[in-house]
Amino acid sequence: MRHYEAYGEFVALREITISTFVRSGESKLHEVVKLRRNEMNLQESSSTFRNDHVFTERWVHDFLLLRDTLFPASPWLFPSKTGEFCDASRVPYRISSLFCQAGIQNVPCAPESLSPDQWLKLTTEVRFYFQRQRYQVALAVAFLSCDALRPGELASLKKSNIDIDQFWICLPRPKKGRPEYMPLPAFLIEPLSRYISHLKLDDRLFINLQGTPWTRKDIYRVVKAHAAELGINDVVPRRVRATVGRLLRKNGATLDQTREFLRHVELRTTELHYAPDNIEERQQIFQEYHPLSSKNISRKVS
Amino acid sequence: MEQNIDFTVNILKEFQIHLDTNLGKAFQTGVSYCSHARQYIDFFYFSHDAADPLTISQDLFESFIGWLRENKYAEATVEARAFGVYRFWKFLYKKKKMAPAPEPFEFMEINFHKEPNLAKPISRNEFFTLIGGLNEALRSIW
Repeated sequence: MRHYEAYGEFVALREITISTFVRSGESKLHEVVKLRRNEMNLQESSSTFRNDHVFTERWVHDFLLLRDTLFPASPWLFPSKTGEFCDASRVPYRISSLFCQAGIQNVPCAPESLSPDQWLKLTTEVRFYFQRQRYQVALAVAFLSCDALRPGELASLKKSNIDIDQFWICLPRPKKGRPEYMPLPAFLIEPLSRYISHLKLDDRLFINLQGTPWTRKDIYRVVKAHAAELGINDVVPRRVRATVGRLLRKNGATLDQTREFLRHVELRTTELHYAPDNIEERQQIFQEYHPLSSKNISRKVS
Repeated sequence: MEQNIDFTVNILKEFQIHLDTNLGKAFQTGVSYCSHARQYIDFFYFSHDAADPLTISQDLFESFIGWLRENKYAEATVEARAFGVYRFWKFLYKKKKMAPAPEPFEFMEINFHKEPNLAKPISRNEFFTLIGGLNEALRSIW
């Protein structure tokens, strides 16, 4: 995830974690913000504070992972953008701002004065709102590389299009015009069910921070950015789809099976654009039979 | 001249309604086909007298495609315009009886020489790099 996008999530998790510390009664707010990184240990499922207090909250764990990725050199547990410890007087204002951004109004802003209901909202709805963008990128790439969906089809998916029990997704607006069904890979079931548990039945799967549904251009943007982060340039959804087609063919699928999976009406489209003849076969023929291949030349010499 | 403009506007409106209601085409498709049809009408009145009634025939259709090529339109654009105008031809024949029956497109021997825009797949290694970190990212969803 790009730095400026991850920073929004980092700030949200930082404020929620600071509030967790304050509400646990461990320290006062102005003491909490000056804690050092070495006072907290990150373990598999929990975080130990000064060797005696254990935090099992998942958001504390997520915060520490993100903090260590973004600010590895800062000595402070709760660094600001510059790497210094964050300003305690701004924490209540920022908590109020988090609620506002997530669309929840009129909430008291001091961490200790939040009611149990408001605290629950902060750690579920608000937290999910800020972490959602990262989840969406992972889900989008997973859908594209498993089901070879077209970007427009992916962008238009809603919670109601997913049937976790039957292991399929229904594409409401594919190119053909009538709804089509695609299998849901097993490894996607659990994360997807956790993700959609936060959504209402008619909610879009992919939205931006303003609440606007993603378009096919957004899918292009995130896939390209995700691939660039991994050091692969010029990866667009269409190329991922072509790669899936090519890999299916390489692993033994017939051209017609590949056409069926890619949901092309005409076989010629599959053949021409997505799964042309394997160059490997021709290379093999060249190596085996051509008089100028290295194998045949060495045979002649010997 | 003004009569011609009114006639053009009206016929294009009717064409768009026909595409939308009778054929169920998407809105944007209707807009594109209408713009292609308008270009054909411009072409027609450019080469004919203003008093001539609007029509279309195989000769005119082929000249239109030739005119697009002379004007250095890309082959993909020529193909798109040809399909739009062919649909307009069908409309003129069916609804207005202003044109001879169109030949099926396949019999007209019009070839488009556009280069296929092939999607270049990424390499196997790159693909597995792309999906490599996915499991961890998906596990972090809660």
